[in-house]
Amino acid sequence: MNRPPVEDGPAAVGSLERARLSVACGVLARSLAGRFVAALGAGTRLPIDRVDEAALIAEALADRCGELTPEGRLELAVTTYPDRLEVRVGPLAGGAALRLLRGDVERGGPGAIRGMATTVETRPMRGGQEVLRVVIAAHPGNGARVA
Amino acid sequence: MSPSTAFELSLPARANSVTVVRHVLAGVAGVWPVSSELLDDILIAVTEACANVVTHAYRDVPAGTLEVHCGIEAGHPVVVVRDHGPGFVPRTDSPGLGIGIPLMGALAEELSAGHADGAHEVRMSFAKGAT
Repeated sequence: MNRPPVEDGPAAVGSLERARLSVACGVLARSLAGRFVAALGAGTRLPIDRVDEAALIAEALADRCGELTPEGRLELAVTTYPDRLEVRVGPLAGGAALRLLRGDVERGGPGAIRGMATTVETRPMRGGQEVLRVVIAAHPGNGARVA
Repeated sequence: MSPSTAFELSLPARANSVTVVRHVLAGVAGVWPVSSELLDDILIAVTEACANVVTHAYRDVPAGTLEVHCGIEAGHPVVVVRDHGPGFVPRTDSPGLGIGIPLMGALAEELSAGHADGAHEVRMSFAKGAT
């Protein structure tokens, strides 16, 4: 039986290209985060190795999830562009992003996140919490700019 | 749903989002107590429900989201697929084959449709499965 492919409904045109995953920190978060980012990256024009690295970054974030998030949940929001992925992680506890990046480096080399991301920056939120913004473009940054 | 086994996805209601949901949901293998056969059934049913949202939920209205809530309730895998469209209406020009809902009903142990929190939802509860 041949089934017609699923096509976008008319309302989908122009919708926000943002996807969200919310999952409790732990083994499930690690399993899902990389798949989530990889599946979204597959829809961009990023080289396959960069999509792989984006997934590794997501897994690294999930690994550290418990010490970063006040609610014990990994909240990922991914915006896709033709040439890049923008991953926002948070809300995070205040100062958590900096601790994450520092710990990332202490584990040797530039670390998974800074070594593979094009840009990494933190943005403050109300209530002292913050969001970590990680951009993965076609090429890693020069050690990734950390703002 | 048990918080440690639950997760939520929210995506634009576009065709490629169905693939994302399917790929992410397959990641519960080895974490949820489901056999590979049961997981295959879940993936097929959820794909159908998501395809319905993409194809029908936002017809002639502004862009919307596809939401998927997944977890384990009393040992049963449960998946709820939501949209914020105006509701399904019968279509004589439907591009589908009309087998989606019967297929979901055949694969799920329980299937229900309704409204919650201002959204339309299809809720599927599957058999308890051993790994």
